Amino acid sequence: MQIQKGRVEKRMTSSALLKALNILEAFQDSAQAMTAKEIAVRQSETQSSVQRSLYTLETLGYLEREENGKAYVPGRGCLCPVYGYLRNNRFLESATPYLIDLSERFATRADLTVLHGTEIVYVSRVPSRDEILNLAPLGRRWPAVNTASGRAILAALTDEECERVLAASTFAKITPYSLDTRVAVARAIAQTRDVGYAYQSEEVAVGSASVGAAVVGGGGEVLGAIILGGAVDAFQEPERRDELGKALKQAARAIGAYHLS
Amino acid sequence: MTQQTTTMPRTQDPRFLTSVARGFQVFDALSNGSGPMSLTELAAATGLSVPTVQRLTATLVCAGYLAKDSRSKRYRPTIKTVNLLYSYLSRNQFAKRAWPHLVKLREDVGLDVSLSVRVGDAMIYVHRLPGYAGNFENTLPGKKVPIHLSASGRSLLSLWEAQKIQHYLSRLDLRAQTPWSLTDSNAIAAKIADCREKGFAFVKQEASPGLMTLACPVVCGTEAISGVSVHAPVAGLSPEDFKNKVLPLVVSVSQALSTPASFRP
Repeated sequence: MQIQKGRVEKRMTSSALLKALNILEAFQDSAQAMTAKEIAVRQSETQSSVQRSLYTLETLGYLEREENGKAYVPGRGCLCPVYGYLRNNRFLESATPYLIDLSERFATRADLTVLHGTEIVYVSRVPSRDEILNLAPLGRRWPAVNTASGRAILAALTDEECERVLAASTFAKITPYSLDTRVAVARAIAQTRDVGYAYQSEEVAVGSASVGAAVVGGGGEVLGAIILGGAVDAFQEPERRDELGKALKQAARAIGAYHLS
Repeated sequence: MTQQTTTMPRTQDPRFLTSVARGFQVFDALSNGSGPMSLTELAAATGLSVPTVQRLTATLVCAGYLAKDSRSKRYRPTIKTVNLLYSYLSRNQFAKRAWPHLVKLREDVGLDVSLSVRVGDAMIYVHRLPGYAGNFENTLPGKKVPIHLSASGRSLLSLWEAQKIQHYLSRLDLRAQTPWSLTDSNAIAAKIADCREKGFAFVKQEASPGLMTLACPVVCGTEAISGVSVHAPVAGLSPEDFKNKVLPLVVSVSQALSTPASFRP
């Protein structure tokens, strides 16, 4: 499918809508609630101009006021637009029964991610009982180079595409165990190509490990990755890891077979 | 299935920016539609003119939230919409607090579980944990269900005074969503009264064919702020067995999430 991107003449767009979307995006870079003043400074706009956007977004439920406070947080309206994306996502639809099955069989969390730029994004999660904290709510992003699913996707891409993502990536330590050089990541990707699944231990969160396999459609397009993740202990034994990896590869092949473009 | 109409909040406030509201109406139309939509289809679904919709879609494409297929000229939401979901889920204390309870509930009952909150005249899923490989659309967060056809919606309304419920139902659009949907305001009010008496709501196939749902309200002080639900296929399990199996567990989760003091999700 060819997608026509951006590049629209300015007079054809609504500046009020763009401004409102920019305000919502500002919350993605800030973990805190923000006051009108803070948002105005961030957007380099006057407070009165920002007030109109805030009033509208609050009326529509896209922003909510913190308890008896002046500060704003994203509101429940923000749950709405994603449904149109998720329900028409054939990859997610074909993968869902397999995620449920994998999670049941191995009593482990099973997730689905897709690559967006240099990051992977969680699009589906089937939790396991032991999950006390929701460490990765839907939409959570991580640098692809640090994650099992990201490296599984990178390993499945052509050398040229993989190279492009690596060149745009930043290599940093998220935990003391994160691979933080391009050489180390390239080695991990080569290993992934050999065995057909990726593995990371404590590189994203201390105490957690995961294995991931890429899902490739009939036309060779990389759709995303499926992951089994949990406490480090469950992934220590190489035999166990291999068992999980093989089950993922098998499921990934089955899901890919639905996408004969 | 009947489409839900998107309503604009009635406001005379000069601060209200109509084009922002209309932009989000485009998202609503795409959520209610069955796939990518053309300008004409979006115009019909939103009640806006084609040139207006064109300007809105151009803006949303420009901001990265919509993509236009160059061959079919149809628009679809992009992965960027997932960012909006995340900005809500990652900051909302109530959604975070509820998660482990829902994970455990799902394990205990082995069925779909969900948490929903009210948005206008609909309930929207904040969390939806798939317990079985059922209808895909029913496994997703962000899905809206008309409040009067939703088990969690009825459980939420059951805490209102009878007169307020009557008045509210009288101004709702009580269109059927399935052949089993109740459309008579008295019949719906009776279901809500029943829910008030029993403490839980049970809805069979009214919002989704083939599915039955049991829900309990999460209460904050005297107001219901959310609903916890368990969903099961109608085939293979009698409503009686379903209730016996899940009710005590749903009640315990809804109580664990309820708070006496003023605390909004």
